[in-house]
Amino acid sequence: MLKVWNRYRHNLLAVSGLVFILLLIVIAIFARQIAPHNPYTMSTAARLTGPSSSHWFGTDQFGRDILSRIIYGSRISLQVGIIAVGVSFIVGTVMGVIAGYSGGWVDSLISRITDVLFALPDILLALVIMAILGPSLNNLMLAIGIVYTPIFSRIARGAVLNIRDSLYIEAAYSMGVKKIKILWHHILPNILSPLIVQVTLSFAFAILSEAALSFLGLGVSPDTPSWGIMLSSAKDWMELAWWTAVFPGIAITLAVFSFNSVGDGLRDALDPRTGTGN
Amino acid sequence: MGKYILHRLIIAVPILIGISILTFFLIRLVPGDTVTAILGTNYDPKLAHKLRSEMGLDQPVILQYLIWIGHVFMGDFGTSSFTGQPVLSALMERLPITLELALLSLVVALIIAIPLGVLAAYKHGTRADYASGTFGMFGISVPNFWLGTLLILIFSLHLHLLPSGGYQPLSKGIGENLRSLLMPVIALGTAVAAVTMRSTRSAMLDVLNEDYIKMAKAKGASNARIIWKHGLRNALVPVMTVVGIQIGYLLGGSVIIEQVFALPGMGRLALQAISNRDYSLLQGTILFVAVTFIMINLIIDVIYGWINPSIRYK
Repeated sequence: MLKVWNRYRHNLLAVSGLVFILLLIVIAIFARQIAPHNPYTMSTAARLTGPSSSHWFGTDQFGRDILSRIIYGSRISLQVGIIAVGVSFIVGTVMGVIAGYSGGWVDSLISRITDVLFALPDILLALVIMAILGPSLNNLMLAIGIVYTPIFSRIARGAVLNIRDSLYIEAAYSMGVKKIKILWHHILPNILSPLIVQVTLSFAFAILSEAALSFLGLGVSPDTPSWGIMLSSAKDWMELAWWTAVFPGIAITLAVFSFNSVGDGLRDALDPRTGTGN
Repeated sequence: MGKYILHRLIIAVPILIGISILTFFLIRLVPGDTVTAILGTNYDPKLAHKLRSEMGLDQPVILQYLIWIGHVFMGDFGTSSFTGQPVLSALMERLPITLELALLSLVVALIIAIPLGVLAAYKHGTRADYASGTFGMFGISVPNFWLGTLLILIFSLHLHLLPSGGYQPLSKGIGENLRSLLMPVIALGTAVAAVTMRSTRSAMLDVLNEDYIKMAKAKGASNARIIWKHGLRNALVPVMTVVGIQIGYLLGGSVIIEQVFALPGMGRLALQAISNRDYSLLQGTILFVAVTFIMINLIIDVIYGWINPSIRYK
């Protein structure tokens, strides 16, 4: 563990990503205290005013403070990330472990299901699911969760297959240890590191997908302070007010950048052989 | 080789069947059926019943699926319940635009990314390497629709250099055509360039440590020859896989980019189908995209097996 951290902390991008994620979490928790204005309060007098000392990032077409909406938007992004990635991590890992561990027709069935889900571009699959479920925050989290489940399933299956025939698993078998106990105590801890890396990277994907689907009008409801929604409405106003289109995008990019660089840093730190990062 | 291609084709069949089942039943889950959507506010139970039996919607679902898939096999994807146009002809009208967008994005991305990745690996650990690493990370993190929006903001609304949207077909001249696609291609291709650059760099680093590279160096081969002839040729094998995965991103990303730039491609067609509740069109579009995606992957697998014969025997 210490070794991993020592390798991790030499990666400048990964460390700055981690710092920014911690900052994002603090901002999301204390949004009410930090935000200078109420993110929902409209003001006809302050419509589309540029960045100033009272509105650092300017205001939108309803006179709402953009900085405050970005601060509250961090809650939506993190919530979508946690729930969607949580769903796909749990369901995908269980599917993958069962497939890899039991083999035979169970493995074939689960693998074919993941193949089919992989055969659709992810954003298109999410779009169709959203069209079925209807736009709302809960449905959005579910849709993104479904889309990223096969990745976890595939990684977990591969990792289980890698260690299923190891000597120590065989030894546990021959000593009469129960299957479920072997799974929980021996297999799961040993396949965790690729899964942890995938969790971090999926967080980045989830934030991007939320923004993209909301941008297309198939995500959260239009009055929600979500970064994607803000960009979506900025399309119509940016000729008059560039700030409506610029700041929410910076927020998305920074958040995604942070999760990606942490995921990358973790991958290198957990497995020093793959020198893909810096 | 023929055996390998056949083997890949056989694997694709159950996936295609799975995709058709998934698409068909997913669309059946959408609240309110086509008849409800067509009649809208003029909903009349008697008329609805008549329409349903005319469209075969009162048949058992399994039978409906079999009828639909039978028609699909004969090239009949049904007709759009909104415009009355055959789905296949609507798709064929839109397909070239999406393909042009995706292909141009891919080509531009590869032209930029591969030399950059090679350079980063060659200058491993220097400032140039760090700079390209940061650019790569930025490229995979920036949302394509935001990049597109920024490009419109700068180059169309402020500098008035490029059109903010719309597609100019090749018949209007190649210059106009490319002008209409320049910003969409940058917006869509940046992430592909970033991913390709990162994988080229790491593949190149692996290759440069191989014994045959040291051998070539010892024999006095020039740096350029070592990098381009010995290094890159071998590094490109893993890069191909990554590029194959990017095809899915390009097809999915074009849905968003076509919307940002008002390009009448397949992605926009799917979005219109969703907002018009045009299920036969949506069903056809998704199946079509999935089949395209699987076919492209199949071609990549075959090329991959051709470049790297050891894959064929696994």
